[in-house]
Amino acid sequence: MTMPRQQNSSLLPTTAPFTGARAFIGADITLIRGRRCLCRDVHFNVAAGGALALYGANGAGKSSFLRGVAGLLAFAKGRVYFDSESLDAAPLNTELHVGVAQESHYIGHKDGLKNVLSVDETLAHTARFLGGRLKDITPLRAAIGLGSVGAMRVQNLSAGQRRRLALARLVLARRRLWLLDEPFAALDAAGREWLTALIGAHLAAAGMVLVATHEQLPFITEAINLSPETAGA
Amino acid sequence: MRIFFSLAYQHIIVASRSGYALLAVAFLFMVSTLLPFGVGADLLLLRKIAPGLLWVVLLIALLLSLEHLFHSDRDDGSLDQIFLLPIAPELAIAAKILGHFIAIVVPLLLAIPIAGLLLNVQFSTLPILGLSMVAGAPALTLLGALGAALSVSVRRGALLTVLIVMPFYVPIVIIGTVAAPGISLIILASMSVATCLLVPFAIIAALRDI
Repeated sequence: MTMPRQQNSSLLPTTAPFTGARAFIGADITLIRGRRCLCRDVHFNVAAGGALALYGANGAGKSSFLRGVAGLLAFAKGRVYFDSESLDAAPLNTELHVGVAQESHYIGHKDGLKNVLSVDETLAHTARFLGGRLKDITPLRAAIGLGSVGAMRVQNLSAGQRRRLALARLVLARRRLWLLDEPFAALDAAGREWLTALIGAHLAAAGMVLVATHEQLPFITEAINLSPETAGA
Repeated sequence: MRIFFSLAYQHIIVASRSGYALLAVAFLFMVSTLLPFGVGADLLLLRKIAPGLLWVVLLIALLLSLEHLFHSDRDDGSLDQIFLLPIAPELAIAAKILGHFIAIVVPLLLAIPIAGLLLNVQFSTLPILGLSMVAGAPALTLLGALGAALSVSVRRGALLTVLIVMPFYVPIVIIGTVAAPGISLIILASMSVATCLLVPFAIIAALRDI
């Protein structure tokens, strides 16, 4: 399942494709929040290079589902794991979840940015947190479209600029699985194009994407519709 | 390890730019100035009760600063990212608490001698009192962090944090003000070490699934 997509080399380092995992699988996922059963026994199977869309009305539980996959919420039942050649015998389970969490980027509605830090500081800190070191910040800043605001405090950024800065973690560390919660929100046309190219390149390198969205996006290969039911008392 | 220290470093930067330490120290001085007025003109009485007052002032200032530990991270979403770091979340939490300790608790401890003078503490008892506070402060911070973590899912949970943590502070204050300094120092230090080892795990258990 490869996505034909031209790679924008000015934004993205050419990198070797991810190996080792054939697919990212969710099995029997049941998610209960409050009294509501958001989904029951959902299965999904995202092949390497595939993108799964989570559709659903407002409040259908798209965000909770993504948080569950990232390990930030506990599923009532079910688990997620990478289907890999080496791990067939012992797939990772959701209780430990370390494998999935450390192989994935989660970009939620809350951007995780500190208002009192500048753009450059945020990028440098985030790079260090993710275990890397940022040698040259300028090309990265230009790539995410924040070329001229490096010294600006995050609190003075616009919503779209904040989103670009939050999405920078996708570039700062290479991780197999991207969990994106309405990533196109607040982005302008250029930003949408940039993010689409970024996701395209990630998929071309056999990465995987789960995206909660309301739109029909060109890179989506599979979809789940979430329609919650009320759980029995 | 580099990740650990950069987490602590970021916490210190954010805390100092937001002026949390300044607020906490100012609070400490304000209360220390106010207390003698409440006690009245009896200087000897003040000298007698000053160590206890100083402990209470310190831990209230500390309690008030706890809201900055996890609540702001919860609000901006960076708490989620802790679980996605390439280090164990317990370590990441420990780094944040270390940052909080350096950014806020250390300035409070440095202000204690001056606040002690305001409360007419005897010069000869000041070193012992200060030492026992230094020995007990990590335990205070860590227990407070646990309370903050437990109340993190509640909006405006600062008061709840105080209610959760206060009972755990009772033994520390009792031991800290006891007359036998040698033993109390040892007990406080051992409490600090024990909480240092246990609390990060408890905090992760509290922060999961919110």
